[in-house]
Amino acid sequence: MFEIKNLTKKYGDLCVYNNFNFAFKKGQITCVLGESGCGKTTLLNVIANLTEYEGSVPKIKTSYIFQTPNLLPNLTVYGNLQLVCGDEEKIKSVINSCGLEEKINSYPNRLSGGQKQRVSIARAFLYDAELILMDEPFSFLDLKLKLSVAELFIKMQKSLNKTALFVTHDIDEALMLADRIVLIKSGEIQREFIPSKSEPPRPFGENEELRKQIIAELIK
Amino acid sequence: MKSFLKYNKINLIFSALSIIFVFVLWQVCFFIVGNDYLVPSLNDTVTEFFTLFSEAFFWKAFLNTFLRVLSAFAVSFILGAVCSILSVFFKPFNSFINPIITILRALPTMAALLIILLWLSPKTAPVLICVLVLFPLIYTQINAQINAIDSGILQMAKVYNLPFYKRLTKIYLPLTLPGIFLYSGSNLSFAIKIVVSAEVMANTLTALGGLMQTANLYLQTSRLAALTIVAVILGLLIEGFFALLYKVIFKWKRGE
Repeated sequence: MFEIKNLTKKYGDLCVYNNFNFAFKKGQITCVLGESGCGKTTLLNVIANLTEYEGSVPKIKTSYIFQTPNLLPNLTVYGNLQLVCGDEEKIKSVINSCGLEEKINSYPNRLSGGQKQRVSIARAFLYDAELILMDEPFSFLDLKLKLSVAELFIKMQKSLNKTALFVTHDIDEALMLADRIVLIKSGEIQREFIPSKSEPPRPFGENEELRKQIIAELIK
Repeated sequence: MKSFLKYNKINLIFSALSIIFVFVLWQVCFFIVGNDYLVPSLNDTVTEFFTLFSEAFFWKAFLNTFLRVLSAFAVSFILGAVCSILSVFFKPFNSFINPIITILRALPTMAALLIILLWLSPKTAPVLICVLVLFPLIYTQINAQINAIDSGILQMAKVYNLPFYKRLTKIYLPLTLPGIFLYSGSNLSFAIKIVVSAEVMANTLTALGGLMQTANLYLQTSRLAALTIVAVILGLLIEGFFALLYKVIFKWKRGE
């Protein structure tokens, strides 16, 4: 288990988290779901040590899949991945898994949005991290791309048995990816949900009832 | 490809027409004014222009001016780069340097030159005045380039624990150099203007500005115009050279 204890985070007078406690299992994909501005990204930034905070947060190596891929425009796909991993064989293997073989020597300005996000995912899995953080990773993708990138992510997470924590305000994303969904409001955990995951990942089907419950909680 | 060539061909035609328009306007002014001490004829100017290249003294003056431009640019660039790096990564230095930069930007160039001539010779004064003008410009440009680096990329570097040398060689240098490189072309061109103007004011001997001052004193207007054209062409060649090098060196920027 990864545990966060007594987390307090303020931005000036605005208190985002006050003695917040949160735990999530290793080897699982945990989703933090909440409306915009509830502190989801802040939680990720605290874990990644990108912002100051008070409390006990595990000091672990993390990868981060950002909302925008944050690829270096001056490096090719291979160059961007080489930044985090020096193993050529490993890089090529991950590039193949992500379906980016033809784009290996392309610069980011020659890639589509979906391809860039796949490179970002490849980078996250190549880095020797204990935890993968994701900040609304599919928000700029259309539905078809969302489904294909989500499928890729789950396939890689399962094969490498990585722990992932991602945040989103999109219920469909949460239902597609997560083994466990935690609903956050005003810096506190409201409820938890365990969705049924389909293969390939789809936001509908068996989770329709769950979707209604989540919506009901969100609009309370 | 065809439309690209067609588009550039059209651009070239209009650019050429623009140059022809300037020369036609010049010749019209010459006829209207009717006094070649005030407006030299195009024909005389062109003759003087090519005559210059056969004069050893001209080449000596040209080289001296060019060396002054290069040394002023080099000093300004090194000073500007060091100060802007310190300014970005060390906030107290930023607070310290900003008032100095503001004062230098506001400094009336020719007035400053008159004061500097009390301290330095006409040979070195143009270099210092160019540094005083160029340094705050380069400082601001490099500062802007560093601050323009996407904060998301810097976050990525922090999360993935990229070591200092990788951040320097893969992020800071490659992402700031293209802009700095492009600016360098126009900065050098600007330095020519400042140095030549200062040489005219200081009456620097064996310099382009000095030759201009002499031509002015002897009412050799066509020679003065020819020397001015030399300075303009030099500036344009330098800018063009940097623009060409930019396209070759920074391949990854193509398609942006």
